[in-house]
Amino acid sequence: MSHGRKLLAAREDLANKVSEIAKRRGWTLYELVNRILDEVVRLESMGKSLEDVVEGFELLREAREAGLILIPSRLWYELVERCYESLDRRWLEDLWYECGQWYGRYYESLEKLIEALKKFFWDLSSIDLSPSEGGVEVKLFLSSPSLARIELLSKFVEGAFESLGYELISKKGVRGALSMRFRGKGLKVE
Amino acid sequence: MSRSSKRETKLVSVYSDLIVKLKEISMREGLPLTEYVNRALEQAVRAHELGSSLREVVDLYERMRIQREAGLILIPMEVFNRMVEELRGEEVEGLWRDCGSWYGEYLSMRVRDGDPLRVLVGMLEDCGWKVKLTNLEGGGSFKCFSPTISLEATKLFARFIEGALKSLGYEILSASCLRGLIELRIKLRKK
Repeated sequence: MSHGRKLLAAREDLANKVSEIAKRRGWTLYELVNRILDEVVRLESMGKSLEDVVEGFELLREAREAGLILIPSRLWYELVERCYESLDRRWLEDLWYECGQWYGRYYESLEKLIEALKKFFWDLSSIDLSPSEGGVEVKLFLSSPSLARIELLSKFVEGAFESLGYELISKKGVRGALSMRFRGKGLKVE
Repeated sequence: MSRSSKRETKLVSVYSDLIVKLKEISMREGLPLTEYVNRALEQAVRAHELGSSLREVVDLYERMRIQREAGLILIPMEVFNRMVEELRGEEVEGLWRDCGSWYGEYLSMRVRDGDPLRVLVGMLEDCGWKVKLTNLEGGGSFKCFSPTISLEATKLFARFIEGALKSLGYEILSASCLRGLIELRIKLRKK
């Protein structure tokens, strides 16, 4: 099929970068630009923007780098429930605590950690961090009312916050919801 | 090549019909056509800098959308591996097989414009597996490799894959597992 062509102005620096990419792939600038724009139109017809798509891609790459894998939620929930019922509770809590410590150190700040939890923990329906009496309070809500997952998640959060220099001062957990208060180590709560 | 006084620009040649569509979209978005095109090129360059082509990025996005709809979630691999190692048993393997079977059925209904098997392979790759397929129709092999997945988790994934492949119309001729390696000999069932 033959197409008529028209000229379109593009930012020169971008056009040059696209041209370099095209060369590396053995295409012409014309071919690559049209492929890109064709993809944009196709995505638009599906109600998606290219920016969202590239961000989604970055998210998964970031998740992989952080040691996260995708598995069916049903299997994960079942696994957590069974482990909680049948394995040594202390061992299990320590495992989640250690894992939380790892993520705390990996993200290096509370803000980055909370951002990562929001982005990656798809079964968290809500997570909220706020200042509270000389420290911070974190509230987490799960999409399903599981006591096992809340208990283990609290150990994960405790490990993560402690590795970032916070000390747990109170914790309240019910099925599907968790509230934890921390203070900076060395600080006294009024 | 043409240059404006405000910002340096370069003229690129684009299909006329594509320009018509792009004009419509940019108007809807309330952006001048040039700005809209520049944004698109910026994202394409960003995708390339992430080490992928735009097509690969879009494919992965689509796959992720299907995975989220199918109820897949991201979890820490280390916790998963260690919990699975501790909790062994036939019953758990049966559950994984059932879940794989459901997932295969889901994909065969959900993926209309593509190959459900490709989405299954993509899902496994997103779980950290490298997948190699050969001659599936005439009695070929489905192999998965991962340097980071424990033996117990490997066995569970093998049951999941078996269940999914059966739902996608394949017969499992044989299956074997080593730590981080799943090897299935499969054949497409006659319809």
